[in-house]
Amino acid sequence: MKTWDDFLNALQLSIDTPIANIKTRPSLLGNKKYTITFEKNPRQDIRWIFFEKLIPGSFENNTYSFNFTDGETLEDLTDFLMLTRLQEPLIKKIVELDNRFKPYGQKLGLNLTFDKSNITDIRLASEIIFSEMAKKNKTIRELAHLTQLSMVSISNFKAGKDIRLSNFLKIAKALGLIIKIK
Amino acid sequence: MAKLTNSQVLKLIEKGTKLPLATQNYPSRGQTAIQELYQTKKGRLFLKRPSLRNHKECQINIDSGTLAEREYWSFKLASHIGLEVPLLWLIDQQTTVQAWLNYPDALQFTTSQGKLTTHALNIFECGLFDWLTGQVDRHNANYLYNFADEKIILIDSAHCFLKYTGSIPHYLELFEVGYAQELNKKILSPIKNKITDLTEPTIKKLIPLRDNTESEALINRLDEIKNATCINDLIHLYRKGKK
Repeated sequence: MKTWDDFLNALQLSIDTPIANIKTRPSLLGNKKYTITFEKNPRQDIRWIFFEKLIPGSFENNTYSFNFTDGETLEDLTDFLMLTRLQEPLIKKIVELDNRFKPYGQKLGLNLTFDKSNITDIRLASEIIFSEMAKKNKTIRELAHLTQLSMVSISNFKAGKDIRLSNFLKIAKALGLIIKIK
Repeated sequence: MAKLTNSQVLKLIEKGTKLPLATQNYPSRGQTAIQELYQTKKGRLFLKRPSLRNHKECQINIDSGTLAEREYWSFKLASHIGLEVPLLWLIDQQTTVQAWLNYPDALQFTTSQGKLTTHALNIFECGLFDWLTGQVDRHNANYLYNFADEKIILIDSAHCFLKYTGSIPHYLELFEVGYAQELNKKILSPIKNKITDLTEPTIKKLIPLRDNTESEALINRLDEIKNATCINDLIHLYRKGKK
C-alpha cells in the first residue's frame, strides 16, 4: 500500500521544481482535497505540465489543489511516477506493458504506438488486432460475419481474454494481416 | 557535464536547490552520513558521503582506499572501457558527487511492475565489470533499469577492490534462471576487447589502491576475466570448481 510519503517522493523524483509541502483536508464531496505548495511556480517545468494533465486541479499563487476520487488512484499514480519519472520514452513503454497505466497515456495525449514486431502477450495481440479493425472502419458485427465467429468470442478477445489460435488466424486473415513467427 | 571540474560542480550545487523529498526513501539512508540531491541548472547532482560505520561494517580498508575513492576508481575504469555509468566526481577523500540518472532501480521495477527483460550483451558487460572490480554489493537497488531500452545501468559501485572475490550480482542470478538458453552463447563485446587490452600499469594507474594485497587481487581478477567469452564463464568464476 502506497503512502503519501511514497507519492511525494515519486512526484519530487519526477519533477524539477522543489515541493515545499503537501496538505490534505476533507472536501464537500466527502473526498479529500490535496494542496501542493511549491517553492517557485512549476509551470516552466515540462514534467509538471504532464502531471497537471494527469491530475487536473487549480492553481493559486504557487499552490496546486486537486482531488482524488478513490484510493486506488494514489497507488497507481505513485507507481506510474516512480517507474516513468514522467519521461516520455518510459511513459510510452509502460503504457504498452501495463493496462492499468493506459488511461494515463491517453490523458497525456502522447503518440502511443505499439511495437508490432514483438507481441509478448494476448493483451498486446488484442490491442493490435482491434486498432487495425478501427483503422479499417470495421465493426465487431462485420468481423463476426467475415470470420463466422460469434460476436461474443470476438468481444472477449477484445477484452483481453484468451482466444483459440484458429480463431485468431481467422480474424487476422479477415483484416488482411500477416502473422510472422521468428 | 562530463568536462566540469570539482570546483564547477561544487558551485553548481551551491547555486542549486536541495530536493530532500526526492531521496526520502533512498535505500542506504542508515549507512550513509550524507546523501543529498540537488536540482542545478545543468541537471540533478547527487552528493554522497559514506559513514564511518559503513566502512567498518563492510570491512573497507580505508588506508588502501575509502568508499568514495573506490567509487571514483570504479567510475574511471567504467569510463575507460566504455561502460555506461553515471558521471562522477571525487570531491575529497570521503565525498563524491554524481550525475543523477532518473530511472527506477530493479527493486522498484520488479516490485510494482514485473520481471526484468534483459539482453545478454548488456548483462555480460556489466558482469565483466563487476567481476573485475570485485563488487560485493550488487543487490537489486544498486542497479537501475531503463525499461524502454531494456538495459540495466550499474550505480553505487563503491563496495569493491577488496582482496577477496566479489559476490554474484543479483542481475546475473536472474539472467541465469530466466535465459538458460543464452548462457553458453559466445558474446562479442567492445567492452570485453577493452578489458583484454588492459595492462597491469594501466589498471594500476586507473585504480591506485594503496594496499598491495588488494592490488594483486585486482590483477588476478583481470587475468581470470580475459578468458571469459560467455555469461556462463562469468558465473563459473564465482563458483570456482563447479564447472
